[in-house]
Amino acid sequence: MLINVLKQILIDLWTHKLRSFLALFGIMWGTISVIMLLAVGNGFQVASYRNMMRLVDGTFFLIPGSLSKSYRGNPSGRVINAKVNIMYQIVDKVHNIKEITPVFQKRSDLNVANKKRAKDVYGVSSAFARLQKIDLINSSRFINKLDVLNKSRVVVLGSKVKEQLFGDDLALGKSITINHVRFLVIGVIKEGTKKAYDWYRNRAIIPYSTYITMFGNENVPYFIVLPKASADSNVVENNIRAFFARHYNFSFNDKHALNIFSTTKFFQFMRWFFIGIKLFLGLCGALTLAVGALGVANIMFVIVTERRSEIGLKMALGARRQQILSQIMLEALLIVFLGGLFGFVISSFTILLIILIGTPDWMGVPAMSFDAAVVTIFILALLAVAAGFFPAKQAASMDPVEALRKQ
Amino acid sequence: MNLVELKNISKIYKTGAVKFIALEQINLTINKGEYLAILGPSGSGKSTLMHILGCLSTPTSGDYLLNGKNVASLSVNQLAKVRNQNIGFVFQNFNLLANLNIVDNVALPLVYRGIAKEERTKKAKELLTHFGLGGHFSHHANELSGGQQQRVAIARSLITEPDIILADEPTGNLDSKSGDDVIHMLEKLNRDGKTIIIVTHDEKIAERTKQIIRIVDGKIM
Repeated sequence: MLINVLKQILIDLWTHKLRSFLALFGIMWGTISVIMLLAVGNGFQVASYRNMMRLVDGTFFLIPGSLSKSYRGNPSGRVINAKVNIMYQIVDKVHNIKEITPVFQKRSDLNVANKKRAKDVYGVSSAFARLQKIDLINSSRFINKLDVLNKSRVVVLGSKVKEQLFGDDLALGKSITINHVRFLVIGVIKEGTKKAYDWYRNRAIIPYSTYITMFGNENVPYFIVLPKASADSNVVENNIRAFFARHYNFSFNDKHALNIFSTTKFFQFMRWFFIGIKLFLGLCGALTLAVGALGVANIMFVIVTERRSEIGLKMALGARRQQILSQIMLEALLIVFLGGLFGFVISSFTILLIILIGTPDWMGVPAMSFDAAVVTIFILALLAVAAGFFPAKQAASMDPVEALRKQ
Repeated sequence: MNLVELKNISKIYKTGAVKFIALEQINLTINKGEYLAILGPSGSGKSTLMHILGCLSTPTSGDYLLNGKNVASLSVNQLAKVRNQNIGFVFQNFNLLANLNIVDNVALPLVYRGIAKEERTKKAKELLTHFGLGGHFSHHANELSGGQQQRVAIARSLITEPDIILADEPTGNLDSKSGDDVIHMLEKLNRDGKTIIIVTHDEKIAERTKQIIRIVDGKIM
């Protein structure tokens, strides 16, 4: 019987080729939309997480700003000029600080022989490598406490900077000049390992003390702070804010005076953000799929109308309502199944093609995740039932006398 | 025990405020093995009577006892079961499914009884051979003549070994020779003990049955 039903369905589909193709195409297109959108969303999420990897979970970025309202004689708009020495007081007064570094940054000219490049030079402490997950090539070292203390003229180069200034030659132990001041290359950052975003590949890093001496600017643009693992992140954040508010005389609630960017909160936000993006993309695809399901429902209504006499005859011969219902449902399911199957196959090939062609770094590599497949199959099944149910119900509730009369 | 007993059967169709009485207070008894014709002009109510006798529709009022069981108020699915077990239909335009071969067409009622494919096919082939269609098993309805198609339809009506064969204008779409063959076939089935009810407007066909029920304006005359 099942073979007969399947045969009947295929005959029906073949008899109305264009209509069947359009119904199948609707489902196929919808399936492709859902899978592709979720796959692209997935790739984007992975790429974005990879980009965020340089942010150590749990760190704070402290960015001094200006007062948004006057406070105890301190006028609104006054700029908070945080100096490096505040860093030591933070460690002393705010408990549970594990690591801290100031971060200075300035565009500077880097020279080797006749090669000259303008790059961002960072002035940081020895903790910076740990706080930013910086990996160095073999035989390299990062800036240490002694370098900071001695204001050593040592530099760590990003992989691209090294490539541009030294080509394939060794850079370690060689000299470069930064704004005409000679520096010794002590480290080179590893080329992107996909474990961390290569944020610093086009940058050079020197001790902050050397930076201040060179550029004369003691105002720290921002600090990166890592609390101890055992510490409550919110408490530490509040304590830092309270310390700054006391020290620089602004209101504890004046977020504008000290902007604290918490990576923990950021990661939490991003997790929800990507769930939102995926939901949105999935919904867009699902709506396309729903339009396809409407096409299937439409073709099923036509099939039911055209086969009234057959349905009437089957009822006269003893077919029960459920048997008529299940036959029509099965037909709708088959159309959706075939459309879905083609959609899955085409999406897989398209994703493969996109991977082969390549995508920009920010977009990531589209990947058909297990979740996306499950969601798509679930939506397909739901729509197949919805598309088949109403025409099937119409067929099953036909009056056999009326159905037999329409011949 | 009577095979069929209709007691005060009425069928009224309502369209908005308009009422149409298709059958009015019909009383009819049919015994097992009878061969009768329900005769009437177009619009007389004979088809409505056939639909009620065939459990394709239910009366507005009255009782229909089939084998002593009142089937007038059964549910849709219960009526489907009764049709499958007790009634065989022969239609004017044969009503064979074009996409099935004649064996599958004949076996179709057994599908709804849950009989296994092998057994269905065996039984259908036996019946088709009995009606002289042994060499046409793989044929589809459109490959057969009208007379052959009606023989397939009769074979289908018999496959469930029903109590009654209801034939609605069985010769209406046939030439006189094929029509005559079909009537002979029904007569023979009656001789073998089957209860045959022919619904027709053709006096000549009706006269060949043992009993004629004349129906005019929804009433038995």
